[in-house]
Amino acid sequence: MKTNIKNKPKSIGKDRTVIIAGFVVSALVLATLVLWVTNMGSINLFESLSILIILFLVISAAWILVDRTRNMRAGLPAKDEMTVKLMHKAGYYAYLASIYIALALMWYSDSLEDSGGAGLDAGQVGGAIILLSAIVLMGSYFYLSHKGAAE
Amino acid sequence: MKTRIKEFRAKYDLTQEQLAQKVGVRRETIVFLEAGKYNPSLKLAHDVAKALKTTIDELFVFTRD
Repeated sequence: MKTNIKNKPKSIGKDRTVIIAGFVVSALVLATLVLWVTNMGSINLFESLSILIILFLVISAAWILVDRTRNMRAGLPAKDEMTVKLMHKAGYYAYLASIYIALALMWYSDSLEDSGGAGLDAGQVGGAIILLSAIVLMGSYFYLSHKGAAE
Repeated sequence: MKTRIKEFRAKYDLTQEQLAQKVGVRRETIVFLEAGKYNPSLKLAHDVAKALKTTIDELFVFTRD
C-alpha cells in the first residue's frame, strides 16, 4: 500500500482547474442574476426568495473555493478524505430532503388549487426543488465541516 | 476514539500544518483527528502514524463510545 508521506498533494493541476471553473461559473451565475433582476419589473415573493437563495448558494460556493485556494497556497490539498466524506454525507441529506421537498410542494400546490387559486407550475416546482436541495446540501456541508462528523 | 497525535506532534515539534503537509491532508483534518471527532481510514491512520514515527496502536485508542 502506497502512502502520501512526504509527497506533494496529487492532482494539483486538476484541483486548480476545478477551482478556476468554479469561480467562472459563480461569476456567470451572479451576472445572470444581475441581468434578471435589472430587467424584471416588479418582484413578487417567490422571485425575491429565489434571488436570496441563489445569492446564498453563490456566496457559499465562493467561500468553499476561497478555502480550497487558501489550502493549495499553503501546500495542502484542496480536498482530502474527510472533505470528500463530508460532501458525500451532505449529498445524502440533500437527496433525502429533495424527496420531502417535492412531496411538500405537491401538497402545497394541491392545497392552493383546492382553495380556488392557481397551483404551482412545473417550472416553479422544479426550480424550488433544486434551490431548496442546494440549500440543504450547503447547510449540511457547513454544519458537518464545523462539527467534524464524517461517519 | 482518543488519539495521542498532539503528544507525538509535540515530541517532534511539529505544528498541525506541518503534520498536514507531511501526511497530505488539510489542516482541519488534523484538528478533528486530534479532537477525536473524525475516525480516519486505515490508510490515513497509517500515514499519520508513519509521519509521527509510531504505530497505529500507539497513536489511536479505540473505545466503544
